[in-house]
Amino acid sequence: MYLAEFTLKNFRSCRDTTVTFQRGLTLIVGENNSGKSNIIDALRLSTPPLSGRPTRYFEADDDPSFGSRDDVELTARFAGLSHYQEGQYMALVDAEDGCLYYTSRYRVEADLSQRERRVPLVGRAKAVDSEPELRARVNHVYLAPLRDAQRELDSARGSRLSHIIKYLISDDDRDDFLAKAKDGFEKLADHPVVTNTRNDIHRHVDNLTTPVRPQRVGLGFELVRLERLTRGLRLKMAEHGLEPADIADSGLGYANLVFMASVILELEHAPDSELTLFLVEEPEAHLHPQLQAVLLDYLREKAEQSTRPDDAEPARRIQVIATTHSPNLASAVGTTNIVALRTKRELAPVPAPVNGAKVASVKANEPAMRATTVALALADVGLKPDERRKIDQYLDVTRSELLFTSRVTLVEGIAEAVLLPALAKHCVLVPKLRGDETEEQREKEKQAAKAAWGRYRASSIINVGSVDFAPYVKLLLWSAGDGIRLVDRLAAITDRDPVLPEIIEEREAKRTKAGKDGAERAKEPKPADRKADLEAIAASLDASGILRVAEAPHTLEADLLTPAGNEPVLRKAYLKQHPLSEAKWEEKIEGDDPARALYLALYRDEKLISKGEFAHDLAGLIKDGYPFICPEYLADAIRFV
Amino acid sequence: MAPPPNGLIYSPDQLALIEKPGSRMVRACPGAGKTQSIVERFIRRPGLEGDRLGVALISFTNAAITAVHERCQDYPQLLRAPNFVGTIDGFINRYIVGPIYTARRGHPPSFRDTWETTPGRVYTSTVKAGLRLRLAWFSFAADGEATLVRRRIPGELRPQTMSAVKDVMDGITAEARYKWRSLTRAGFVDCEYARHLMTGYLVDPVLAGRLQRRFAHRFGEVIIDEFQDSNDGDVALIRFLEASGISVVMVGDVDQEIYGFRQTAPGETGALAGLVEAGEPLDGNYRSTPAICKVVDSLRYGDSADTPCGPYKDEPRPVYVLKITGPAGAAKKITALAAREGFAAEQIVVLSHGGSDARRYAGAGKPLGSATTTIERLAQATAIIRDGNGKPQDRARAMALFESILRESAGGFADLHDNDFFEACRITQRQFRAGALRLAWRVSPYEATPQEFRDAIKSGIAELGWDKRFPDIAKKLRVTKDQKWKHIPAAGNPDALAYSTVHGYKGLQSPAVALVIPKARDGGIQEGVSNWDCGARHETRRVLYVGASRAEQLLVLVVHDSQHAAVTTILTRDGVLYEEA
Repeated sequence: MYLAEFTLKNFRSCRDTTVTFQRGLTLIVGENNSGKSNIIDALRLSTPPLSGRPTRYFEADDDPSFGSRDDVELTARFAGLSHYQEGQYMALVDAEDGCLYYTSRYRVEADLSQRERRVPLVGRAKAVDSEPELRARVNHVYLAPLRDAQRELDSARGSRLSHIIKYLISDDDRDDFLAKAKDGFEKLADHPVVTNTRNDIHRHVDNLTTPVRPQRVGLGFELVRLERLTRGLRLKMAEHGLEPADIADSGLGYANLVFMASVILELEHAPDSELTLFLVEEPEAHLHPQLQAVLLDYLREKAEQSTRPDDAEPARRIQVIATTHSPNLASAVGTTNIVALRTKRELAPVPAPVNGAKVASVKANEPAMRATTVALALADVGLKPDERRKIDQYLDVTRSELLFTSRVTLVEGIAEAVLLPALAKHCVLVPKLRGDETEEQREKEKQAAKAAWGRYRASSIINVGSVDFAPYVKLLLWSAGDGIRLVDRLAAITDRDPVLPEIIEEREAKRTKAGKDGAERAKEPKPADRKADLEAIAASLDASGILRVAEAPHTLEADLLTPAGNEPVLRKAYLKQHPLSEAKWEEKIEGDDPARALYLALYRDEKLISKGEFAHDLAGLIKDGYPFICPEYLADAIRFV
Repeated sequence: MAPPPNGLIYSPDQLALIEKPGSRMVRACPGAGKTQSIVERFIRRPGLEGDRLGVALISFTNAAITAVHERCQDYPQLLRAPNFVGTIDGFINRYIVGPIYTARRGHPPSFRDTWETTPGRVYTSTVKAGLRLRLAWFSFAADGEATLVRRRIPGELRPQTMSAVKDVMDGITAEARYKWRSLTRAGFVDCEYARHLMTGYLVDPVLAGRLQRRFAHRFGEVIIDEFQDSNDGDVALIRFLEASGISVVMVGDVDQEIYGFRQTAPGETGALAGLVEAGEPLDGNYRSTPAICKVVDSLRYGDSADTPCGPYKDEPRPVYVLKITGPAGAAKKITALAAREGFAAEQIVVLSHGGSDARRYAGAGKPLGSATTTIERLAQATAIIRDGNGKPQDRARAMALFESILRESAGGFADLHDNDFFEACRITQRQFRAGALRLAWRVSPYEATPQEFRDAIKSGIAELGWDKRFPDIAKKLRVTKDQKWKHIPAAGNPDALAYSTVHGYKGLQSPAVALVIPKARDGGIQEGVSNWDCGARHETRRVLYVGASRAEQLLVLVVHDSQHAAVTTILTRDGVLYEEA
């Protein structure tokens, strides 16, 4: 069995949030304050800790209901029960869908004790639990974000090592170890340290007691117990070839890994556990980026390995649920295993009167707003397998922040990626001054432009590196139904790459030359209309309003020529690459329509311009203050985002 | 695993029952150590060692359940899932009816032992003026077809009720059916209806297949105590479990089958007999003296004989026959006789087929009578809850009644099924029970006037902060003008002996038992004597058999003059060592 779905009602930022999970590993990604910790906290409240010692209790501020006094309700749906589990949970399993539903309802009335507050319920009907003893068989282990792993590994009280050792050794080994320890202690009992101390104490006691009734003083070791002996053990590690040192000296990153390994070890031996949710908050907190991916692979592997037949022993399955705001980790696991959190702003409920108190008047003009968490399980996005693979591969290589920002501009290549910020800052999001403003208006305009630039800067430019935007648009604009998507604004900048008559002619000529005739001479393929295709995708996702497809009439470099006055700067950039080719440049842009001319030239000679270099040089020139006008289609996309 | 109880050595037959894996049906005579043995089997799990499946121990009496609980005190995990210890009704509700009903109806069933604790349980019939009826007096078929069951009407109301309904039977059964339908539709399920539902589920091939698979992965063995008490629904369940591949161990004594009114026919338990292999019978009687064993043999149908082999196997004491002409002075005579034999009054229990006989012969005065007004009923329930000496099941029943009366005063929520009710009241079932208990302990009903009792309940509800939830409580608890309790129990006689019906004492034992065989009337225990006499197989005879076999050392047959000759003749005929007291 595994946790398939978790619904949080009225819990902190989650008014009614449903998160779906993968069997093995689910990574919850989102910005700060998007609700990641709330989901983990709610899972900690919903399931008992494996250790039996709760670390999270319901608190008054877990109720965000703005005084509506609705109960907090956390419902977990477990699916994929084995036959054995269905039998074990037969009094509780839903007779129709075969799932197990556990609800923890928290009543928010102020005067209740922790015990009274929590109402454990089962089933879709939320009924009283007839076999509550089974509840602890689904449990969790929680790893906090900033954990002092070293202290937890070594602390004498409840040391993890001594805790784990008992799972790992046979009874015979234990007895042998204890017998040897006993021998050792007996030998030590004759050591001067012991005998001298004893004799000295005895001398004093003797003086005191002999007049009354003589006493004898003995000194020995207390009964040897495994936990006591193993408490003294300390993990040591070092890089290969070096003398192992205290783990504290090996850097916190490794201490964390050792700690997690020890938890996994404990999980594997937990008695009577059907499922353990391994809740890891921000594993990146203490880990080097390379170790982050290693850790994730390890966790995922453990989760996979934990699926085994459960006829003879408990399933002891491990399901990993981790949160992160590291694009690094997110990119490494692939979209299927990611749940992205987004925030939805909605009207706050009107507070219900408490014990006849007056209802606080809500000003009609300022409805109270509140943010609630929406979870987007990317496994549910309608992507074809090859589309998903494409995105996953892209993420894995680029570690891009695709999944982390709410305003995105998709571009085809490095040229757009390099040029856009420069154009935005120096050409588009600049104060609009006509010259007759007052100083105050001027200042205001400047501030507005600065703010606009700040917002643009916070958005992401994603270089897809190809013209196939469709999978990305599908992913970013997908919504689970309530209109919340990965992005709020999406611009896609693409080239029309028109198939001009000259191009058709040249292709025909090429084919004729190759000797293909008649039937074999395929018809000129219908030119792709990328803009229309992307807009159709947006329309099908009911997201037309948040997608802007900005299409270059020809191609970026050519269309930069369109606004009058840009030519000198472009020429300068071109000459930086080809200092001796001024004549060639003039030849290529000759005519009534220099953009069209350059487009054809670029079609015919791909090496005419090194697009990346050209963009870098041009951006440099713009930054240096050379006058340049942004083509309208790009300016529009920048403003939209 | 729990170690065996101190000093207990099991006989080979008992060991066979304890240790042999697999299905079996074992016939056990009274006092054969049956309960001990099945509890031991439950703990040892023969054939299931190292297996993760549970064992269910299902009983019809509370005695076995109490015994398991005592025995497993230090091993509470044995009483938890995947094991099950409880009544067959609890088993059916938890594993079959509860889950399926909930999935189909969208809310869990509100289980009740009887209709006595549901809203509208007492009503004034519209069929005939002034006729007060209770739903619990009827038996209902799966479609709600109602039958008035004479025996369920309390004795003092029976004659007048039966004569009032005589010519309007069709009308009152139709009315009862209508009420039953609205209750079952609202989500209430009593034991009888639960069996109907279960029967329906078990014939649905899809449901039955799924259930069978789940049972097979939950339980490795089901131990059924007192299997002779199963009715047709129970038999269907036992067969179903056996067909699921679960080993079924049944222990009982067909001669102790005294629940004919639960619709058992001997033929059905007979049919069960062929289901699994018969185990070695337990016919060593560890409980009683040789003379008592002899009476028990004589009372049993057929000619099997028990071997006394317990601590009293060598006691020469005869069975005593005490001839009486009525209940007056009977308790004194019993006490004197027991004292002469060395037994204190506290060691004696008076048993009879009818509850009022037992009470009167024990010298405990007139029966409580059944209250008719809500306040009287609440007062009676309160008194039983507060009586520390009462039987747990009586107190549980009283608690259920107390709660149901409280719920009837919950304004618009009164008719809701449990889940909706508790949700609407913003209270959990546990909190409701705790609150009801606190209310019951506020005032001793019969030490106060009805008015004071009502005020105490009312102010208690306010103190719990429940006054908004139960606004109608004062209206419900109407006090009559004369301000007097009508059903105040007679002041207890301090010399009264402990007493019980035979049914209520099933599964228990006592050093000294006085078994009452009262004056010949229509129906009842005197038929037992004639059936005993002519060797017939009949429930009335089995009641005597169960009653007599409760005795360990001293059995006094308290025989009315009119039955005396017949009884002594049989005792002589069957060679029972007896003496006239």
